[in-house]
Amino acid sequence: MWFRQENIEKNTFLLVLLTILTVAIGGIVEAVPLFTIESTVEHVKGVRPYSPLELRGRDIYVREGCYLCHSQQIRALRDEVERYGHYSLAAESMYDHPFQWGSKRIGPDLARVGGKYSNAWHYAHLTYPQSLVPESLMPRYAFLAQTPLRTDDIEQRMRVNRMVGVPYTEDDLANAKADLLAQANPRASAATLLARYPKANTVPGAPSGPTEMDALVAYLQVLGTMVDFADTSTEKLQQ
Amino acid sequence: MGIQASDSAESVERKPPPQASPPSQAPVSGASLPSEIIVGIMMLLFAAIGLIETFNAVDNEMLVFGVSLFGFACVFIAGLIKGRLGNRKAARKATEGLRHG
Amino acid sequence: MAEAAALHGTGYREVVYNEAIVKKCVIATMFWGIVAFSLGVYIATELAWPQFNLGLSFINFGRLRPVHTSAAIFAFGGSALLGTSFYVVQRTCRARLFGGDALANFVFWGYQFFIVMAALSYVMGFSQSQEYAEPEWHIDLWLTVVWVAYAVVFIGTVVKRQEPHIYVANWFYMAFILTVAILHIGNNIAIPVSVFGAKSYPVAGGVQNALIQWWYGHNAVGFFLTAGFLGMMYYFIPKAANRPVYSYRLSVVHFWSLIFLYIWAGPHHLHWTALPDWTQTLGMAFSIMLWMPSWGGMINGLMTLSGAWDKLRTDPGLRFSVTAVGFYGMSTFEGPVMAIRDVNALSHYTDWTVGHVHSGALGWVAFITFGAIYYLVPVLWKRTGLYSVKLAAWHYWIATLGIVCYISSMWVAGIMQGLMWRAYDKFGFLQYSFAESVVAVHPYYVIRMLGGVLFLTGGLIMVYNLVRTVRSPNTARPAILPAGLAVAGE
Repeated sequence: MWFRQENIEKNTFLLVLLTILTVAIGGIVEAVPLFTIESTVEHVKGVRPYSPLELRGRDIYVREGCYLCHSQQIRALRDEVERYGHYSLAAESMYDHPFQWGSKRIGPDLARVGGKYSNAWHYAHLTYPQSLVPESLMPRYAFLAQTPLRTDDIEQRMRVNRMVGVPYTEDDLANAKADLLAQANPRASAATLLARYPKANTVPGAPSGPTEMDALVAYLQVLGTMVDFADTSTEKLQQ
Repeated sequence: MGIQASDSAESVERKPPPQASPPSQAPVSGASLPSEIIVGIMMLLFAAIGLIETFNAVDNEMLVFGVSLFGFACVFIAGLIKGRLGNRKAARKATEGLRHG
Repeated sequence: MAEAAALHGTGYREVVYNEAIVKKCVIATMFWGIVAFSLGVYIATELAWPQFNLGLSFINFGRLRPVHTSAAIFAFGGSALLGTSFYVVQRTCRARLFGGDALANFVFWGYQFFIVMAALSYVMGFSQSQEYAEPEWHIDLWLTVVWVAYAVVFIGTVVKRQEPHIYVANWFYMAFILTVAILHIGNNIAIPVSVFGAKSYPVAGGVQNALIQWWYGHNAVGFFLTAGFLGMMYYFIPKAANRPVYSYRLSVVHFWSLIFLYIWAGPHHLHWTALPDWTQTLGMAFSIMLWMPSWGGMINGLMTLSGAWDKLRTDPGLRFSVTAVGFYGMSTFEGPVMAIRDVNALSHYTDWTVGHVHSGALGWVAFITFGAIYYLVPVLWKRTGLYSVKLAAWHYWIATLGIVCYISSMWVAGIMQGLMWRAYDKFGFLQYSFAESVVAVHPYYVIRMLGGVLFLTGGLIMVYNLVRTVRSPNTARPAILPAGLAVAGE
C-alpha cells in the first residue's frame, strides 16, 4: 500500500504531501466554523466601529506593545467579573483588527477601563505611572504627549479597515479628518461626531493639533462602554 | 530494528558502483553558475524594490527597510561576482597546474 | 582520504559537503544567543525596577520584549535550525545541498537580514502585535521569500539523496519547514495602509483573529521549537553517543501523532475567553493527548543512551542534549496540565506561563542546541576536541542553576498571582487589589533576573570555549591528506 511508512520514507513527494495533509486538518476544523457559525459573534446592540481618533489611538496601543502587559479580555470567572465587570463578549472585539485580548497581566485588564478614570488621570498616568500608582511597573510614555498625531492618512486607514470588514460608511470616510479633529477639541461641537460614533469621548487636545497621547486616551476611554448590559438578555449572549 | 546513525555504510538498496572520476574534474565547491544567475537576478529585483521603497516611503520604517534592502542586495551581488571571479582564478590555476605538473 | 577508502565498494559516490554554510550558521547561533539572553536579562531588570525603562520609547519593555522573543526563537533558534538541518540533511542523504552555494548563502544571509530588520522595526515602533509574528507585512513578505528558498534547498537535497531511506531527523526538519510556512502565511494575511508604509491591518479580527493567532502561536512552539529541534535530537544524540536510535517504530508513531495532534492545541491559550466553548474543549482535549507523542519522543531520545550512559560523565555536549530531553519531557507534561481548563483558570495571564515557556526555551531548545554545537564545532573546524571540557561542564552547571532559579521563581510568582487575584476575604469582597499582587511578586522578579544572568554567563563561557577551540594550536588536527584530493567544506 502506498501509505505504508516504509514507502513514505523512501518517497519525498509522498512524505511532503502527507505531512501537509496531516497538519492542515486541525487548523481547518477549529478556524472555519468560527467564520461560518453565525452565533460565534453574539447578537448584542451597541458595538460600533472606532471613531477616527480612537482608531489612531488603537494603532498606537498596538505598536507600543501595550497588549504585552495589559489584557483586554475579562474571563467568565466570578472573581474576574467582580474585579473588572461583565465578562468580555466576542462581539465587543469584532471590529478589532488585530485583536488585543492579550496573554499576560503585568498590569490590570483594560477591557472595561473606559469611563473608570478621568481624562486627567489617564494623561498623568501615561506620563508618569508611578506618580499615581507607586507600585506600578509601567514605563513612562511622556513622549506620546510630545509627538504630534499624523492625520494625513486617517481616511486611508479607515478604508483599509472597511476592506477587512469594519462597516465604515462613505459618510464616515468623508468626515474622517473633521471627526478626528472635533474629538480632540473640547470647544468644537460634538453633535455630528456623536451621531456617527455614539459614546465617543472628547479629549483635551493641544493648540497645535492632537497628540498621540490624545488619541490613545480617546481609545482607552471607549473600551468596554459600547454594550449596555442592562439592556441585553441572556439568550443574546449565547454563542 | 534500529535506525543506524546513517554514516555507516549499510543500506537495503545499493546503486551500482560509479565510474571513478579524475579528481581535477570533480567540482570541489557548490559553485554553480545557473544558481548564481537565478539568485543574482532575484537580488537585482530586490535592489530595485529597495530603491522604490526608499524614495516613496511614508514612514521611517519603510525608509530604513528600503535603504537596507538595497544595500543588502548590492553587497550580496558583489559577493556573488567576487566568488565567481575567484572560482575562475582557481580553475585557471588548477588547469595550469595540470599542464605543468 | 579516509572517507573515500571507507566508501570504496559500497556503491556510494563520495560527496563534498557544504560545511561553510553550517559554520556561518553556528557562529550566528552563538551571536544571537548572547544577544537574546542579554535582552532577556535587560527586560527582566525593567520588570524588577521600571526605572530601567529610562523614559525612552525605543528601549521600554513594550518595544524590547518582541526583540527578545524574536531573538530567542527566530535568531538563536532559527540559526541553529538552519545550520543543523543543513548539516544533517547532507550527511544523512549523502548529497551536497541542492541549489548551489549561492542559494544556500541567500537563505542564510536573507534570514539574518530578516532578523535585523524585524528587531529594528519593533524598536522604531512598528508591530502587528501578534505574538511571535510581530513583524509588519513587508518583513513578513521577505521572510516568505527566504523560507521558500530554504524549503527548496532542504527538500531538493532530500530528493537528490543517495541514501534511499529518508532518515527520521529529516522527517522532523521537513515537517518544521512546511508547517512553519503554512502558519506564517495563515497568520499574517494583512492589508497595508500603503505599499510605501509599514502599517497594515490583518484581514481577520476579534475572536477569529484570536484563534488564528494562537493556532499560529502554539504551533510556532510545536513546529519551530519542537519538531525542528527533535530533528536535531534525532541526529546529534545517536551520533554523540555512538548508538542507534532506540526504537524505529516509536519514531514513526511519535512523528505522525505529534504533527497531527499539535496543530489542535492552540485554543488552550484562550480558555474562559470569548472563544466558543466547543473550540476551547477541542484545544484542551488535544493538548492532553499531545502528552503521549511528546513523551514518546522523550523516551526515544533518552533510551538511545542505553549502554552508553557512562558517556554522560565524559562528554559535556551529550550531557546538555540529554538534559534537554529531560526538560522536554517536563515541559510537555506541564503544558497539557496547564491546558486543562480549571488549571488554566488559575494560570492564565500569570507568570506560571512565563515559567513554562522558559523551561522549554532554556531547558529544551537552548540545551539541545548547545549539545549540537559542542559536537559540531570540533568537527567543522577540524579540531581534536573542545579547548576545555571543564569549561563546558562549568557552563552546564551554571546554566542549569540559572534555569532552576528562573522556573521556580516564576512558578511561585505565577501561582501567587493567580491565588491573589481570586482571593476573597471573610466578608466576601476581593481581598487583594491588583497593585498588591504586583508588589508581592517583586522578589521573584529579581530572582528570575538573576537566573537569567546565570544563563547568560553560561552562554559567554561557551562562546569563549568555542573561540579557543577554533583558534588554539593545541586542538589542531594534523592534516593527512593525499595531494590533489578535495577537503570537505573548502
